[in-house]
Amino acid sequence: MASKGNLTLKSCNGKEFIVEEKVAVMSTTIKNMVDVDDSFAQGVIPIIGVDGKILAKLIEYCKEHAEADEDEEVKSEEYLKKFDEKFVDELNLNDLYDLLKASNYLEITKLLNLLCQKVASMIKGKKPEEIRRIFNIKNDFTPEEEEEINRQNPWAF
Amino acid sequence: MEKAIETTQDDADDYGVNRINALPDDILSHILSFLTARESAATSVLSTRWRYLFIWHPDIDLQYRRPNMKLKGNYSDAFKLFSDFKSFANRLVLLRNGAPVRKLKLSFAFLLEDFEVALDSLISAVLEFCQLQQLEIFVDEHFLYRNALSSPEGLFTCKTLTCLRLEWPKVRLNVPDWACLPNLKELCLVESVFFDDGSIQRLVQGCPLIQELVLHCLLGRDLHDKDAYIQIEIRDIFNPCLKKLVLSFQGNLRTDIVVESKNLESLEYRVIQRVREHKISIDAPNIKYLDWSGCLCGAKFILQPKFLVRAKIDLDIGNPSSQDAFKFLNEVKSVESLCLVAPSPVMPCVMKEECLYGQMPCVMKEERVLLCPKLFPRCPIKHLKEIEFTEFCKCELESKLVEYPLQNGKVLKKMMVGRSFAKWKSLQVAKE
Repeated sequence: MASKGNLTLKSCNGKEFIVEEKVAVMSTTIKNMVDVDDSFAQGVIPIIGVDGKILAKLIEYCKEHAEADEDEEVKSEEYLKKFDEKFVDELNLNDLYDLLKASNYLEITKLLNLLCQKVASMIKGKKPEEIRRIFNIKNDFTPEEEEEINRQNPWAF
Repeated sequence: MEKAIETTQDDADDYGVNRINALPDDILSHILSFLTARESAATSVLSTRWRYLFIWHPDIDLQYRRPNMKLKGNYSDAFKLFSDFKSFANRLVLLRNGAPVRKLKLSFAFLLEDFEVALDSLISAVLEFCQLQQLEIFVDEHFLYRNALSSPEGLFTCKTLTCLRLEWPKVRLNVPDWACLPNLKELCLVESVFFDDGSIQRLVQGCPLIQELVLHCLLGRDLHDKDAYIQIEIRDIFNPCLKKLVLSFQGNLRTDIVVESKNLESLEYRVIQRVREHKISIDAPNIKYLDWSGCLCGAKFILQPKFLVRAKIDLDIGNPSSQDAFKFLNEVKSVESLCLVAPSPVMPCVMKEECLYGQMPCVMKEERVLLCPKLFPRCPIKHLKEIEFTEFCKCELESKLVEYPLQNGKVLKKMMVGRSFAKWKSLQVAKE
């Protein structure tokens, strides 16, 4: 297995991406696969449940961060911060959910943290009604249950 | 049963629209971990899916702030709010049903003495039942009473705790004889008050695995104990793993510190304001990073400066201990980075005041340049790769001071000079 070789990742809808190994192993899941079995390094790694659009996004993120890890001078912390901000700002809700699931499954911790933080910032400081509207959450409590929750946690509301 | 079916159908209908509810528990819980416990608990009302999600994250961040500061005379608001806070926190601990808590962070503003018992029992409960690993308590200084709160008892006997951070001004730490935190690796105490002279020593000795010890002591301001005396002995037999030590003293107190540590790598020592009497003896042969501010009188070192990688020394060169400083600096050999910070205006203080020359033999008025080798210890200058000057007061001697390392630094690669110097120098060049 060439240590600096390329890996081929295949999305669930059949799109193939050739990426540098250092980019792919930002995902702990892929890293473990490659470490355990050399055949993955030569063949095609199927990424189950992740479509081409989302996989391209994941690779875009990992590429920036892998390069930054390698050479701090070219991509400073500030640059990465701006990149991260732009990256999450451009996502619509559906992409956000897909990326959350994919980064969780592929164990890309940095990205998972970034995405979770983004969702948390969308919740922070908002009234329940607003949060329900933003995320399309249907209130399935009976009025009695809702009152009970409010009574249980007077401090939280 | 009927209800359960209904919910499933709803979810199925909404799939594609209501997708956040379809995310797995651990992702939703991870999202909530970026919120405080209060904000996170507020999501329990969103829908049945969210009702108990806030309970499960192993990190708990609890903040208590009294919102209206104007109510000085009327405490009832504060009591109501604290009582709500208390029942929320207790409920959270109960609902977790013994699930381990990795980190508990408590932040308080406007804490009243009446809350002491409730607070103690909350902290004790988490320590006892939740296998707590990290405890951080931050208390805003502007609280309304002057007496110290006592710390909860279980604090000094928790077996699972690895990190304890108390930024709790004037909390009174009464460390018992049997204090033992067998797994504690990091201890940080900011402005704690120690119940007696031996408390701090018992605490340090009760932490056999400690790697990082940070003590900020503030004394003598409005405490009755004007004769505050701090004695700390840190020796390898009790604390063999110590790597980082930060000692910071402020106020009118006496200190007597002994550090004897083979593994110590980093030492930060600061004395803010003149301390009445302080003694420190350091035997740390493997120290790599030294950050010293305050005078050196009363300090005894056994260092092997050959291992020193980075040193930052902030000295009051104007006081009689400057001789000690120069002596110490001359012993520092082959340091990679040496930062000398002098309280401004130190350079003019060295160069202008006649009285100082008396303490520096062999410096004649006409040969002031000789001060340079005094300020720059002879040995290190040959090995220095980087020098930075920041403060200048625009006198001719300073330019000599800047030139000296340029002429004598053999491996000097980079020298940074503060902006004020550049401006002043370019002015001068223009004049010439």
